Amino acid sequence: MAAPDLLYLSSADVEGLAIEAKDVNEAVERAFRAKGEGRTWTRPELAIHLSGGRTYYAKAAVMTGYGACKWHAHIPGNEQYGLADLNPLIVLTEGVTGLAVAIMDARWISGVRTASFTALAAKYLAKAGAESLGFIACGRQARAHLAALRAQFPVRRVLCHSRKEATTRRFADEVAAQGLEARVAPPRDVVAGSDIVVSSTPLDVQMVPFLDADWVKPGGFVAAIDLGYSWRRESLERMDRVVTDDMEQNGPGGPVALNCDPTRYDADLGELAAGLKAGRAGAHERNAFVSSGFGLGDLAAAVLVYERARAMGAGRVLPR
Amino acid sequence: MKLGKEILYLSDADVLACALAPGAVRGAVEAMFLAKANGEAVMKPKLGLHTKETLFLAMVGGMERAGFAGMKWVGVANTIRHGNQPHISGHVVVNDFTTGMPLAVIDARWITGARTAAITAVAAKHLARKDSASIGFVACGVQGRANLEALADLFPVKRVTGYSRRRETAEAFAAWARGRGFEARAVGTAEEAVKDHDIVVTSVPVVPKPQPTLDASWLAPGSFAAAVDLGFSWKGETLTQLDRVVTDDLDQAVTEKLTYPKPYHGEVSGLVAGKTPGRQSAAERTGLVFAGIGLADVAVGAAVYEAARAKGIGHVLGL
Repeated sequence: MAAPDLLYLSSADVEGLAIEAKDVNEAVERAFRAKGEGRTWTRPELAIHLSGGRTYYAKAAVMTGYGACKWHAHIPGNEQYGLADLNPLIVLTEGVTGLAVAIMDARWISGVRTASFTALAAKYLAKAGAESLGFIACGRQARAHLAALRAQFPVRRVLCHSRKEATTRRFADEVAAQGLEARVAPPRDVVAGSDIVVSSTPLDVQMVPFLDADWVKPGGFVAAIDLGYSWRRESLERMDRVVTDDMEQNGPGGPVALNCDPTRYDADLGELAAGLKAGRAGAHERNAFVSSGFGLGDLAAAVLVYERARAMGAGRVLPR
Repeated sequence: MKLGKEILYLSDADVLACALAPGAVRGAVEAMFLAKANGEAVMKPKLGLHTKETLFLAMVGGMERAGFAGMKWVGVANTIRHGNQPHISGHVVVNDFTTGMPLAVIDARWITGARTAAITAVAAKHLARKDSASIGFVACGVQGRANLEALADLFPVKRVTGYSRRRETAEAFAAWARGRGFEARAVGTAEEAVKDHDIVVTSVPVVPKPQPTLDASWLAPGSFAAAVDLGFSWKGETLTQLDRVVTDDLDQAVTEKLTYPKPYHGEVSGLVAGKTPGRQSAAERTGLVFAGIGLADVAVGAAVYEAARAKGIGHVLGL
């Protein structure tokens, strides 16, 4: 048996595959269901914390057929060098032989997989037929979330807020161009007026919680992609049901500190996807997903990208 | 190459073409350990994921002053492989420490062998006798060869003995060593490769349920034993007879469950920085029990990257 090619996929190669949000949602859901059923191998992320909020992350996971590790730094202030804050790479490996099959730029994956986590959590925790979305921060994550959530809910209205007026305006215009009703609003109105609220405030700003989950309307759902740090902690903990990505990583004794009591989580994504823990039980429940990201989602998305690239003949074959 | 826009890819052949000498690898690892001792290096114990067929490892570290960070991701296959593909395969990603941008993705095969042997060599500088002239090897694979090359660069090595579970592996190793000018022979028992040698290197593949067979009482006075196999080939309690035992990282020694049951005398970093005493007499028996740290992969990966840039080797890829 000949070894498979080693494939390199640049950012343009990955984006050129034009993978739809619903496909990523499905791949991520399958992976978390497999986790809940004990068919994956995962460990909490490795994080090297440096001064000034600089951090290096390795996020690794293995499932049937493949293993992967995503590696990147997050360096607030890279703007001064004309560089992005992060540029993750993923090395994807065959499950049984342990042989690497692909190296890929993981910027696109990092955006969409996070949105797929929210879509998965929302499937179990948001109200069916959610029509209105609220965005706190209007960058890459907001765009990815809009696509991931539209793949699953009959979205009609979007409220948005971010620190920079121009950023918010540009995002609202993009949303309107997609045929949705879009409005710029103050944070409290965004939170109170939306069925699903997504906060993705960059963590490089000195974070003073400025959102209160008590503002969320009955039946509402919050996805705090910013580790929960834009929210007043106690207000998040008061929600009816609070879930997170992975209990071993974010729960009691885990290495990742989210802005929520680690003993508060009712379930993690694997438990929800496998039906081991209950989701929404009533129309008036107010629920929250407090998220750090997790390597299994990167693996699931990387496998989707790799298999699609192989089928389409995309990328560059590297010598081993 | 433009930072944040391009990276360098180095295949196994590219890495070999960089032709880093044992002294250069040792120098890179030594500088890393000095940085570690001075609190200028950061790392985490390795992350391992064990499936039935494969062990996956992620190893990370960085050195702010040297300017590099990095990660190694490897798969270790128990048995099933594609044709002649290696037992351990994977890549080292090297990053610019300050901006975090990736600089290079490098095939990990050669680096894994070379950096492990360099850890042995750096420790041996402080723990083996200067006149060490004989080395016994238990297991004669990639690590056996890499360790012989690294140690022969430091010591007046004449006599080499190899033992392997498969006799033909030991014979092939001995023939390879004779081709490099050593008096080398294959032996039929591990005890023969341990007894009566100045340095002993054990590198038995780490398996889920190891069977320790080696007894430290076999070690000659004045010898140094390097357990590249996390110590799993040694009966752990017999290692406590040794006068001095160090490891490469005290935190990882716990998470990797190395077999040495007592507190270590220190880290290799301490030896390099002069904070941990090395060999104190010609009669002492000393040891190194370790699992290999990601910082060593980063240090050697960065040296390979710099050599490749200087020589124009490798493939530039757009991010």
